[in-house]
Amino acid sequence: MKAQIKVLVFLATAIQLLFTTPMCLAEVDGSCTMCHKYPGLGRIEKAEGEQAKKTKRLFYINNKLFESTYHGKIRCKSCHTGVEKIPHTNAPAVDCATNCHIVDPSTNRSFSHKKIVDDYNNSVHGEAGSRIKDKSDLPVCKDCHNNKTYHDTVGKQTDSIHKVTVCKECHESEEFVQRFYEHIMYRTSKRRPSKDVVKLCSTCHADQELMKKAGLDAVVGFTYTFHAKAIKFGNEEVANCLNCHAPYDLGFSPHRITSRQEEHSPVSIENKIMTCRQSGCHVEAIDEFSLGSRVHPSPEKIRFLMSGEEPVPEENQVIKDPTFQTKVVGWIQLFYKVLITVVVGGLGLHRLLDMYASRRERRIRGH
Amino acid sequence: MNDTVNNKSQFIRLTRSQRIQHIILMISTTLLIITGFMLQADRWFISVLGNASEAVFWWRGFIHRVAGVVVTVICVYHLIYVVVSKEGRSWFLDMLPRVKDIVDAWQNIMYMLGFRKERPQMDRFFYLEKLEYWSVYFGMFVVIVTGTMMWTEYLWPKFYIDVAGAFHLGEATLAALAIIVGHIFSVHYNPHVYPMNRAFIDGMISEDLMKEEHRLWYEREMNKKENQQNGVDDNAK
Amino acid sequence: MPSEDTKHCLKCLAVDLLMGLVFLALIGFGVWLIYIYFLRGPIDIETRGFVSRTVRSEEVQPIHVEKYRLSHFHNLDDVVLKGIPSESLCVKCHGDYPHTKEKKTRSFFNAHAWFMACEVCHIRPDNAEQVNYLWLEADTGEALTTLNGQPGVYGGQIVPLIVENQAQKRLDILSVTDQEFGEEFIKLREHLDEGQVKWSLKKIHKPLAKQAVFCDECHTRDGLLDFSQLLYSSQRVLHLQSLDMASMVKAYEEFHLPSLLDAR
Repeated sequence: MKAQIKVLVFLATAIQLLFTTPMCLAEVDGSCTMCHKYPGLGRIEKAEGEQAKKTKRLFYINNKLFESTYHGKIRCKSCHTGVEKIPHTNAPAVDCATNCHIVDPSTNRSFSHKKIVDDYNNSVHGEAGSRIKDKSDLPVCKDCHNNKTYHDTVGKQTDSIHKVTVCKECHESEEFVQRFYEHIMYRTSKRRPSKDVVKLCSTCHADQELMKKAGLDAVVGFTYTFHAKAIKFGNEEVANCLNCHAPYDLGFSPHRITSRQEEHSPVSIENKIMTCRQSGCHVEAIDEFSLGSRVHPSPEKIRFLMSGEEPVPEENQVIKDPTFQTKVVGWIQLFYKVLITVVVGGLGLHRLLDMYASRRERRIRGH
Repeated sequence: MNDTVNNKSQFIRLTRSQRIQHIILMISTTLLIITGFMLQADRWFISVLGNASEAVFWWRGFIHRVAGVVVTVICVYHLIYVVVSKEGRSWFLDMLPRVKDIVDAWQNIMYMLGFRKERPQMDRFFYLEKLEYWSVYFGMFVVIVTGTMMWTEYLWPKFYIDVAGAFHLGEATLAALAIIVGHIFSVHYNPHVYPMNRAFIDGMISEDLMKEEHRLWYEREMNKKENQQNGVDDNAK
Repeated sequence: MPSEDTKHCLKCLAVDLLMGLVFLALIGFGVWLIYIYFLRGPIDIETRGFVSRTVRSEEVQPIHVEKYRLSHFHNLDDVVLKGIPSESLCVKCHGDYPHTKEKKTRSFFNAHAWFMACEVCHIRPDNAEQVNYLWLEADTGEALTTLNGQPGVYGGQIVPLIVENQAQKRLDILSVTDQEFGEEFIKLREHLDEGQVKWSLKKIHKPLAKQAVFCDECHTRDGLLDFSQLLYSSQRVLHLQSLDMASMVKAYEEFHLPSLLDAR
């Protein structure tokens, strides 16, 4: 009896579906959250082969929180294409180049990140542009971009509630006005504080193991530079990674970063000086300013050389680095380490001896 | 020489000009050390500053540069001073290193270790004071040159700036440590003068201390005084 | 009036104290200088921890709330960090996401595990036994009177209570001896040999049903659970009884729920 009712219900809905085809293609409101609203929806996935490596996959969505994010207006299935059945087997991974169901007002076509994804693909970080062997280690969109909540990043900074009152004179939807304003504010303000840029790039580029695997040197020298010290204090005037490797002002973009060995790279030997001379930076720098030396020499390298261990095998080395200059800096440090030890140690010892002598004098006098 | 006998028990150790030079050098060096080493500050220090950290950074740089200029000016002034003025020349001549300093050092160390009965008799400046004085020449030269290079960074190849930075930091560390250990602890935390050597304020040294620490100078001064008095007497006759 | 001598001594003490503090400060500064020049190396600008490289697949490890919210693309709240609101022995071993084997249903079952005691499905009461199912608060063990909060997060779990001699006994709490045995086993597991582990596991899992309760045994009219007794609104009861079939069918061209189309 039960089964019969089920079959009947199934048939009835199936027939209904046939006549309402457009309905079934569109996403039914709330149908995803029907299941995905439950926090426990998720599972532990064991990677095959590796017994120890378990990964947690969480399918829980806090709808309210998600709706306040940059992508909050986009329907689930705009990104999660191919989710057509339960369970969602064989659904492809999210591709940021997909056309969204949002119309770009500048072109009247559906919006897509395709151009940027293509650019990125050809950049040194992309699958087409990269020269490293194991492409699975390359960063993807999500490694740098997260889907932040507008209000956390923009609303709090700009007191948006007060400022959108003018907009609301004409535009009726408060929610639209708020989102639009915060979008514009976010896009026109500085994208990321320098501290975050450094942290972000260092996530991979300061990772010795990962860089070794990719045949690159881990960037360590940057922390020695004045730029890094200023950034540490929250200064936004000095250059962070992107200001040199992808200066927007000179027409470059973080999505089109190239190796410094490429001719058109902003840090290639020829172009470097132009990058240094950007407005607000070393505008009057002499031609020799950028010559020869790396901005962030790698003292790690000196250590490796001194210990007799080569950081990266010669044939795997993508960048051939002249180490003489970094060695010189190391020698100076060594010189001062010796000098400080001798001088300050000597002075301290002399002082202690003097104290010893005074005690003796006092004792003799006392007796 | 102005620093002759003032009264019975006090002698002039530092003249007014020297004291002012010392105080200017002291204040500006302290500022330089503080603002300079702020760049090396650990993260917790910056997190304590909170939102003010950016402003602090700006002021840090500003004060460092101003103090740097002041130090440069006072150093140049001192160079002129030791050439032009009479007291400066005498100071400079007394500061010149001699063979006796090495002997003094050896004998003093032997005394302190207990192998000698008596301390060697020192002149106006003993070997550590001379070492300090000449270290400042060396240190100031390094720091001023490299500091100027880093200030005018666009005039130099980047490599030179790296070298300058390495020298600047190394010299600053050396100087700061030497000032703490070799100057403050030796000159001010000294049982003879504790809690501090007042000479840098009033410029005076007591006769007792002078006899003990600068015996040769004391004798020289007394001779001079006698000669002067004799001269005065001669003139009176 | 303090005499001249005491005054003098007080002054001495103050000077000593001041000079002592200055001395310590200078020593401290000197030590720090030596540390930064000789030992520390480069300044410690923060270079780690913005976005972890494991964003694509969160590794199982304790995660900081803020970091987690940032690192998950959909901005999760901290509910996921709290985990199952139960200190059951099962959770101690099997974790917050216990179902791993059956690919089609594991996520659904895990979702249920967050608001249902394991025993609801994994123990089959005899027909003779009368079992009540109630929402019990996680901390106090008292029955909930209303359901408030996020879906599935009402501050408690559905717990089976067996009625024995007109007294209700929680089925999700093992008898004291069993509980103690289980805890002892978790502690000693590493030191036991294979046979001992096998025997212990068998003993612990003995009360569990071979065939756990499946979806359609509850999500149906006159199912195992009385949804109206579990504080759901009458509309929701209907939904739960029908498994929200209608809306699902509308949303998916091709659908199959294990209970309907798949052989169990």
